[in-house]
Amino acid sequence: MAYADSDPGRTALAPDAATAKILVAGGFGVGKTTLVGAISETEPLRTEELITEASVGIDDLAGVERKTTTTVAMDFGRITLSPALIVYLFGAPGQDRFWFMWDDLSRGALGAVVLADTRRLESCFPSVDFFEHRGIPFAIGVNCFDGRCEEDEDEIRAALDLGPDVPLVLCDARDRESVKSVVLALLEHVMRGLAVEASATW
Amino acid sequence: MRHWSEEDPWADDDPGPLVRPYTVTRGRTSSARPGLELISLISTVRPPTRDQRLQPEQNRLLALCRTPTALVEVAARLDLPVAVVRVLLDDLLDHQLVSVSPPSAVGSTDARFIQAVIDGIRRL
Ligand SMILES: Nc1nc2c(ncn2[C@@H]2O[C@H](COP(=O)(O)OP(=O)(O)O)[C@@H](O)[C@H]2O)c(=O)[nH]1
Ligand SMILES: [Mg+2]
Repeated sequence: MAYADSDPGRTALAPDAATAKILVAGGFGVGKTTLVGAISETEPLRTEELITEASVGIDDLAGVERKTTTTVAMDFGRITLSPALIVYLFGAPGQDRFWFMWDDLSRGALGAVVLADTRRLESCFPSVDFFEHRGIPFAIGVNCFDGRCEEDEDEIRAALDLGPDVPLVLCDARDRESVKSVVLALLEHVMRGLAVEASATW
Repeated sequence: MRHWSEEDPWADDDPGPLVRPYTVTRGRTSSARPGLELISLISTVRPPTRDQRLQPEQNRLLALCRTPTALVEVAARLDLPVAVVRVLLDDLLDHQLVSVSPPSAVGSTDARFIQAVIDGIRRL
């Protein structure tokens, strides 16, 4: 068979390279795909998953489940930090009916960036709830569309009912440096959490 | 009130297919091999022998994974759902044509590892 190189521009990787996963959640149109694209080395890639909704438990009436097939798209991007270390960022819709997918996605994730848009903050409430309840560390990125970030940070914190330790970073999802700062704020928060855990066991 | 299982042929002892059976998978559905995560790296070990009859998608997978490629990226590049790629991989793993990165390398959350990610992103 023809073994042409599929992607000659890619860094040579070790087959046993370590891989990490960072999630990007938030309401529709808040800039998840844009953020993933801004920091990834490729255009965001996309998979469409077919899911039978019986597994979703959409219907609370005991014993009544309907099976319909739904397509859920998720975006992701790749950052090869070294031939031995690759980070994948996953963007997926933070809506109640997709939580079964988030359970899968969040397994083994370092943490999540929850993107918020101050014009409709409530669209990120379900994501914040989800990560809080599952104990998955997260940071809020406030995507300042066209520099519109007149809201006060404290007001946003209060509206989202955030704990004082949860990082909140104003950002532009299109700007690589800005996105880096959000991701770093998340990862530093994760590190602080590990330090607290370690000291608690002593 | 009818329970869906009354009319569902998969319902006996099977919770049901995760995806509609695809012609690609010859009607098989995912057996969810443990250790095969979305970010597990798939690497081609060797080309198939002549008597190993593979499907076109499996040949495409082997060509793609000459560069180690995450399961989710295999799905995106072959334009197949992840569950279908899992099924394709089942045979390829049985034939030892591909390898999967070790679970310890996938999604670690220990401090040294996270620090390496932080340092790497700072340098970007
Ligand atoms: N002006 C501006 N537009 C943005 C920004 N972030 C995203 N957009 C635009 O908003 C739209 C929705 O973004 P997208 O990333 O697709 O949102 P998603 O649904 O969360 O993935 C797109 O047209 C983006 O180009 C931003 O920071 N500023
Ligand atoms: Mg999107």
